[in-house]
Amino acid sequence: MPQAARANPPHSLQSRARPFGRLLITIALVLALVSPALRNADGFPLSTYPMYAGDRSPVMSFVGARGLTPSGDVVQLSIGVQAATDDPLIAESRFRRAKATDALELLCAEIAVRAQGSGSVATVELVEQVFDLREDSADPSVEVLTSCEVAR
Amino acid sequence: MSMFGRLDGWLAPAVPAQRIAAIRVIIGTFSTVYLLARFGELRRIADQPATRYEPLGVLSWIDTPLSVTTVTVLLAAAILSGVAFVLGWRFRLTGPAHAALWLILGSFHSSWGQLLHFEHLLVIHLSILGLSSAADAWGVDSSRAPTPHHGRYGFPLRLAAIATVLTYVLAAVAKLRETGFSWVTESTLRNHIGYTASRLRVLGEEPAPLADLVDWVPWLFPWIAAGALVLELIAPVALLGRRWATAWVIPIMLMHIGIVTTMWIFFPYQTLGLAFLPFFAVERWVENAGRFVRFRSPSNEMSVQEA
Repeated sequence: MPQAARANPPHSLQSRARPFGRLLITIALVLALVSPALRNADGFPLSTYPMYAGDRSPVMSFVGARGLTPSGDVVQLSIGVQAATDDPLIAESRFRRAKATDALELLCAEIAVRAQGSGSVATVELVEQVFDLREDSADPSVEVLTSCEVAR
Repeated sequence: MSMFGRLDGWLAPAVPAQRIAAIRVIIGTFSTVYLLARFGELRRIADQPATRYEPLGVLSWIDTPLSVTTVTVLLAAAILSGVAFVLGWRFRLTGPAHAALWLILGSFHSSWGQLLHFEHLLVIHLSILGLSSAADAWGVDSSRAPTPHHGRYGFPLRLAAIATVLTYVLAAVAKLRETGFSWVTESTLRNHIGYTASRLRVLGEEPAPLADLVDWVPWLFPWIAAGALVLELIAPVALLGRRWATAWVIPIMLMHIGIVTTMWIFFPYQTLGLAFLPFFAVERWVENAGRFVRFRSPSNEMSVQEA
């Protein structure tokens, strides 16, 4: 048999198996990708991609930290000082978790350590801010949850 | 040709090795630069109290978080394997290794109580490319002999394209499942944008430049929501051919730009267009860019002047 024909026989098992294999791989990939939706379970790297999918009330509350000067003036703390991250999603989940697990005082103490480099901040307050989109979305109501001193 | 033959011809179109190689270089460069940019953030995450750890993905069987040292070593290995991925050096080893390291680091990044959806598709694409013949061209180990067009280069790109469109369909299904058509008819999208802006204010950040649209033109949001949902649902049309892909990719990229300008939520892999490369003859863009650079080089300008 000529060399070329032996290398690529026209109706070999291999030439039929490859298309079949490709089809199986494609089906497996599609099933894997849709499986989180079938199970309704988000994960990594297979996901339901639920970003912004849920209902969202126009009234929304957030826990965050703010600084106070010795004279009581409010100082806005950066996201890095508040949550040691530059990612708002991670920062939000950190505060949410601390509130849910009654760990606000511990979190306040952590923030107070980071706030030592923030100049005039003498006290850190963890506050819950409630925004209402039906009214002025930039003017929230504020409730102080806990506070702690910044060591000097 | 039989139905099965036609299906296989669509699944594995014969394309040049340079196409998948160009996509390997571009996506590999992105994944490596992304890791370099996130180096400090990932190390800081590893330094958190273990009580915040909620393992996911390939780390779901490990109860304790990876140490800072382990994360640093994994990051260094992922960056080095990323460089090898781009260069096509020992790709049969470095391709899967880079994808596997990304799988671990991506799982780790999302294992702290907040699942981040920026990295899912990138990891899926890296896994497909890493297990393919993506370094047969434009790699340090590539043969200098011309490689013929072949289905083994087209098949991974088809898989990557299928993965891209499915992520959008799944996102639409999630909205319909969780909120139903009220996601379009009610103020859900407007409230999500307002929520993101308020969160940024609490965290001492500036809201996105167009976030105030929620106050200025609230009536517009049901229309934007309807457009976004339709675009996500019809994503599979991008698999019908290059014109269909172009017609779908342009508005979907505009949607991502809209997400950035109203919420500061940046899906870099999608917004920069990298998720959509498998739909296009990327090697031609690279070759045209190369020709343009050669044409504009000083030696050529001199020879043009001499002529």
